[in-house]
Amino acid sequence: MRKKVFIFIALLTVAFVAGIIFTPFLQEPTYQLKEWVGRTLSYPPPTRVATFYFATPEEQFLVPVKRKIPFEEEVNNQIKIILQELIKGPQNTSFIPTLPPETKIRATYIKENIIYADFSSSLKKNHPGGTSGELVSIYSIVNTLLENLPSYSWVQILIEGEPHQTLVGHIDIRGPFTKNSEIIKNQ
Amino acid sequence: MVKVLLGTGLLFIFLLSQICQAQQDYFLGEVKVNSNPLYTQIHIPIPEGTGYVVGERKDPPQILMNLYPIETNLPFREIVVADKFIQKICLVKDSKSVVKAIVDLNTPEYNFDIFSQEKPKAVVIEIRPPRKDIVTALLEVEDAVGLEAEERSLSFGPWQQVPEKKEGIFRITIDPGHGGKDPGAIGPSGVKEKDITLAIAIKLFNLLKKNSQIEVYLTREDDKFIPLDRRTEIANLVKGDLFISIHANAAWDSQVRGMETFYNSRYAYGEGAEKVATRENIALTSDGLPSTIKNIIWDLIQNQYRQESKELSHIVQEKIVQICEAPNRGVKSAPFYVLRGASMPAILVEVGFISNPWEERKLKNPQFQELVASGIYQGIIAYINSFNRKINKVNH
Repeated sequence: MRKKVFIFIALLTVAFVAGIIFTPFLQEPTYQLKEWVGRTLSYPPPTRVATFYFATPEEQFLVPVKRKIPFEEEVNNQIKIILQELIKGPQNTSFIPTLPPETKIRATYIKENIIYADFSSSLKKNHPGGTSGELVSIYSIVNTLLENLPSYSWVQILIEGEPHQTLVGHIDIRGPFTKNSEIIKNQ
Repeated sequence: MVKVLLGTGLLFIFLLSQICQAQQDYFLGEVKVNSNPLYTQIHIPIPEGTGYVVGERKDPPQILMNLYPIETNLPFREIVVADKFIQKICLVKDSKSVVKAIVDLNTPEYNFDIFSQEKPKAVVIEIRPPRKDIVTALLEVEDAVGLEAEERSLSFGPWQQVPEKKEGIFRITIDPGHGGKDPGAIGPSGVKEKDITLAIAIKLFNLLKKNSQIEVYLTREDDKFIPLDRRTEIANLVKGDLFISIHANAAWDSQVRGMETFYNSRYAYGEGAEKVATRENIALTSDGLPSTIKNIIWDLIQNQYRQESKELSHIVQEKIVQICEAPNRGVKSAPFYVLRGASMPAILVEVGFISNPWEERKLKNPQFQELVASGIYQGIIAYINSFNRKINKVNH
């Protein structure tokens, strides 16, 4: 009787160990199948066309430039991608970038129809200064975001999570901005 | 037969109620008066689509309001209030669809505001004690609570004892941009904006001082840090007539060059914000003012000087470009932090690009600085002359 119980337990143990050992082999074919199906059926990543505003050579105006960017369903992710592309600057060398390339996006969020865009301190530290430089920076951010996210009408610029008085000492950025069409020059 | 009668009766009552409803919609509602030691408010409920015209009568002091189109059951209604401001209100059916509201005031010294209210739709007349103009009131508040001890220490200087202004004298405040721990923009060879702006400002100061028509003040005379708000505050304290902020420009591209002049643009607030501001100014002197309201009020103050600021910008821009033979980038408006607190025409002159190696060298040169100063000086003089011509035209 005791022997039978022992054999039974031993068999169970062997079956358990064998199960653990052989499971990966058993699963392998289905896994491969899944991967194969996935590869043939997956679509190219979705993209969208977005408009970016860069400065004219004289830095008096902003010009719209269209560019294909990855599409993100989640609006904050989409805002981040748009701002990262804006920071990269124009490919066409006859237009001027408007933000320091070192600038990072810390966070973005939306509250009461206002898009809050929170930048790293390099937006301030690595800025050349001057009213003209400041104006194209602010309005390239504001106009680019509002052009591509037309359901919102205000943009609040934050630096290291806080609203600031000015970017480099002239323009009041304590409050949110609406789109500025006067600064846009269509090519 | 009974059924038919009952049916007709019900239909009749239904139609009658509809007519009454429609009539009710076009009727003047129950007028309410809200007495308060600081102000009295009269709520007149009016139907959608009713307009009103307001007038004032000096002797006896009365506020008159015509409402149209509107109906009333009673040809004459009198509401006796007898509080600090109002004696009584009379509602008179004037002619078809016109009702006249006559507010008899207890005092000729009063101030009033009219605003409409939604849900329920009503027009509100608010009567309160007369007060100094909004600018004086705001300056008083700023003086009382706005300055911390630390900031006060910054306020030593000639504007502490400002003499009374004589007739026909123009008081000008020159603001050299940046200073102290804030160098402003820095050029490729290391020239700092704060030094250039101070040098030009002092040269302009000396030119203006020679003119007997003009009194001139500087917001800083040396390399000292002054917060942005403090700069216009100084100009307001000396009761200046013009505020000129001098800056050197910078751009992303080192080839950008030229001169440009800016004035303050309108701020974009939500709809109705200005209305709120005018209404809220009642609380201006009493307790602490919410900062948003304060900002809107400053905006309103700058609004009344916007046209003059624009004119001054154009004249100064024309002169500096002509005298310095610099590329003309024109006059623009933008929402400036530096200019927004000024209760006078205010401009910001960008005298050249410190980020451009060629212009940086020029800006460092005292002779060129003198040229820039004389350009701004001539602009100011041309503006004052055209201003005086306008005043004379009005007087004669």
